Amino acid sequence: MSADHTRDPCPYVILNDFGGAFAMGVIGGCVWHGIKGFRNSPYGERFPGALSAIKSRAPGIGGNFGVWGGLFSTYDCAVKAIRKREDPLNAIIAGFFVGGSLAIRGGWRHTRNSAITCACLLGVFEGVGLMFQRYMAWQNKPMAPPLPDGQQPLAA
Amino acid sequence: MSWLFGYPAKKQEDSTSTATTSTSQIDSQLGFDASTISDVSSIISTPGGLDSSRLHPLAGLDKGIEYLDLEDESLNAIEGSQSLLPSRGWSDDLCYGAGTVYLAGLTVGGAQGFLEGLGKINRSDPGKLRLNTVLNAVTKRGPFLGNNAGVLAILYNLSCSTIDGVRGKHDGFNSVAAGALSGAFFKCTKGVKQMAYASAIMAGVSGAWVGFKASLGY
Amino acid sequence: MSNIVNIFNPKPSRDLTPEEYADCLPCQIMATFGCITAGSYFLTDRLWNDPNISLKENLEKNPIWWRNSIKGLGVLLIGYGGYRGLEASWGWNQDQKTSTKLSEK
Repeated sequence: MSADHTRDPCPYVILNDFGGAFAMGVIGGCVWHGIKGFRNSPYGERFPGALSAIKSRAPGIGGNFGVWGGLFSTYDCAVKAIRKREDPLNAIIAGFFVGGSLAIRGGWRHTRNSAITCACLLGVFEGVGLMFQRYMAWQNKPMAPPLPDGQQPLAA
Repeated sequence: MSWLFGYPAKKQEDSTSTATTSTSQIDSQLGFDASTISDVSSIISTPGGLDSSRLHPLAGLDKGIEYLDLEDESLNAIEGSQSLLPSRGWSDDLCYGAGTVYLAGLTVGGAQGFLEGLGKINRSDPGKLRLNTVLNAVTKRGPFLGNNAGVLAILYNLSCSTIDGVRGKHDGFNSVAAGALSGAFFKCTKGVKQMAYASAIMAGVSGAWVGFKASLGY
Repeated sequence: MSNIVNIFNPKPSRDLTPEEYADCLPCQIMATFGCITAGSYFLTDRLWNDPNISLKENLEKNPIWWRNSIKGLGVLLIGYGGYRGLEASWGWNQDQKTSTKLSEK
């Protein structure tokens, strides 16, 4: 398999995933709370309302996304180290543990439901990713060159 | 086995041509004398019989499967951008920067909360209540500072990459300017004076970061 | 975004080479720290010390078998964290390849 020359993936990729998920959460939170604040404010105050909603809510959403991403990456690395194998199944197991960890304060039922939901969601994403990859490979498959015209007959 | 040895021209069409002409054609394609072999196992067991470099001059299959490396794994080509962690472009900078700064903010905020919690406990509290007070203060302060620091880091990295792209090179001036811009943007709703303060503080922090990297030799 | 992006772009399944999982000091530090923190958090009672609900509701949310299994998991995690920590500092239980790497330093 191609060796990644830039860095040793597993310890440092957790930071990468954390930051990426955090950035996604901040930007998504800005958009979401901007629209929500805009719509929920009185007419003269729509933009200031949107701005104050963004400023108060977006960092928190970023933090939640970031924690999810960082935990997912940590569990993914842990499962990879235990199984010593790189597999789509790693992501599903990691998703199971993330769902469980984030819901553990809610009692055993909530933990179980959240873990199963998160694992199924990740399974769906992985399945979609695999199908997309196969579709792209099928699209790019090498075509046989067209036979030249005026071909001699095979039998003498 | 024609996928391995190439497609000799007109081999399948000349079924009635003489053996010598077809074998000489085949010999020039295959690179060895086909009449010396009788079955597949002698081809495989001949040393040098399956020479991968003859498939294509640039195959380089003997180097392992590094040809599977995609272009997006090449390091950032902007001069001067190689830093503590090798980065593959602005998205890497953004992610690592945001992640590191968030965790640093979490730690600093946690330490601040720890000291605050220590200040709040009274002499008469039992052990568990003291522990709870301190832990509550830590979990209140830490994420707050971490979130804001992370947002600042995202703004800083976005402006830094934009300035890098516009200027074409990466030096200390970019970082300081990006710091000033992100500080100003962060406090832009609080008035000009706050903006100026935040801008100056962020520019100072990024200047210190540039100095720190320079002292390490980057 | 390596691990998260890899959900949508899965790499082909393969077994890891020993260079990839052996001799990784940051991994050991993170594992030790994470396991001990998580284990000690599970061993305290902070997970189910909610003053807003009654004791009966709390026992239904967190029954005794659940509490005991979380505490058992906490003990296991602390044990594993200590094991990884000692493995890093004393260097035992590493195979030939990694011990030669350490001796070269």
